[in-house]
Amino acid sequence: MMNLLTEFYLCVTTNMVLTYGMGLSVTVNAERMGIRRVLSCLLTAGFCAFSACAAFWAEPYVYALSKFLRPLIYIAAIGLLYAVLLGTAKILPERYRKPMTDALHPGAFSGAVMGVSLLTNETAGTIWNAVQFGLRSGVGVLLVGMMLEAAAPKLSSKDCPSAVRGWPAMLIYIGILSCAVFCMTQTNG
Amino acid sequence: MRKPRQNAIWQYALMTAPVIVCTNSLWNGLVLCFMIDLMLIPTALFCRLLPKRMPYGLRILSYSLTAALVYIPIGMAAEFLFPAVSLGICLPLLTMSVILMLRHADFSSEEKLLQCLSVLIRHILCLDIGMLVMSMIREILGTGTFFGIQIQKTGMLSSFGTPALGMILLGCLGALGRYSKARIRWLQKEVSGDDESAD
Repeated sequence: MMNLLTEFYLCVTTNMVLTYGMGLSVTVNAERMGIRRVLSCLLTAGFCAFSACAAFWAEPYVYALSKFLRPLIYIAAIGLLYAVLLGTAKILPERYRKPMTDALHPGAFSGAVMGVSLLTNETAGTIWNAVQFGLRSGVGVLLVGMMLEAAAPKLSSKDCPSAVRGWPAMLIYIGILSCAVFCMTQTNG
Repeated sequence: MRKPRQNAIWQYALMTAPVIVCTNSLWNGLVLCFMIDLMLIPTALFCRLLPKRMPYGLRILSYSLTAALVYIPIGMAAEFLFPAVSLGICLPLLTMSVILMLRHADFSSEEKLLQCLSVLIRHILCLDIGMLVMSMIREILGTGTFFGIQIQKTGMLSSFGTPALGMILLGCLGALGRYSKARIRWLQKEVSGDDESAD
């Protein structure tokens, strides 16, 4: 039980969305983009785990060549998985194909995925640490997606003043959650 | 191509991560604007050459690979030109943020180059104004300084530099932008209504 609570705490405090605002554009604009928010966050979570491993594996080569090649190498790795998933989505039934492909584009090329790739080697000493970091960050993104999905109907309803309705209210909501996470991380040093 | 009547940051909350993390001081904001402009212009112009019939997935991948290639000289230039300003991972993160901007602007290969450049520059100016306003507010309210020069004894709240308050501020600025736009539209209707009744 304690392990579960510790993992949940780590998922919240290493959350790319709440601590750095990465992946926020897609999460708050999901309705406008016509994508399913939770599905996009789920795909982002998978890509976070994959990209953390890819970043850890590629680090010796990056170190040997140039640190400015990092985004190129990471995007190439993400692109590989993206192409595989895109191909897999084509064989799905029509009912699932469109939502999957619509959510895959922003889910794969999200700021959270690149952020996890860039931060992995600062925090992970072994491949297992990198996998843990990627998974925790991914679960964190998914948690935020689910929270926003629950709050979105209220934040986009007519009860909300028109100026704040939609993404401004979502950003303020996420900002307040982020304040809480910031306090948690500051308390523990 | 979508006309830049609306600010990508304040109207659509695009590129939130670099804006929220880096615009905690005017110098950082200025350097970020400069770097985004340098990344966006060649990426957009190169991506304009892509065939229109290209599958969407391949198009998105090409945008991101192009942005990553453009980042290599720009990252080196940033390290050389601004050694004192540290944007951390925000610069390499721009390779992903730029894709959203390119999708938002919806570049087409059919438009003339000069027309494309002119709309691109207007998009960029809107983006830069948004970022500089955020930076100015956060620096003045957070540390009481303007470009590092102390103008108040202390800032109102030092946490203005944190991403949490950056998100709240961005949401508030977006709401303020929408309210101002609605008010201007209402005033224009009132004025045109008065003119019609006078006629």
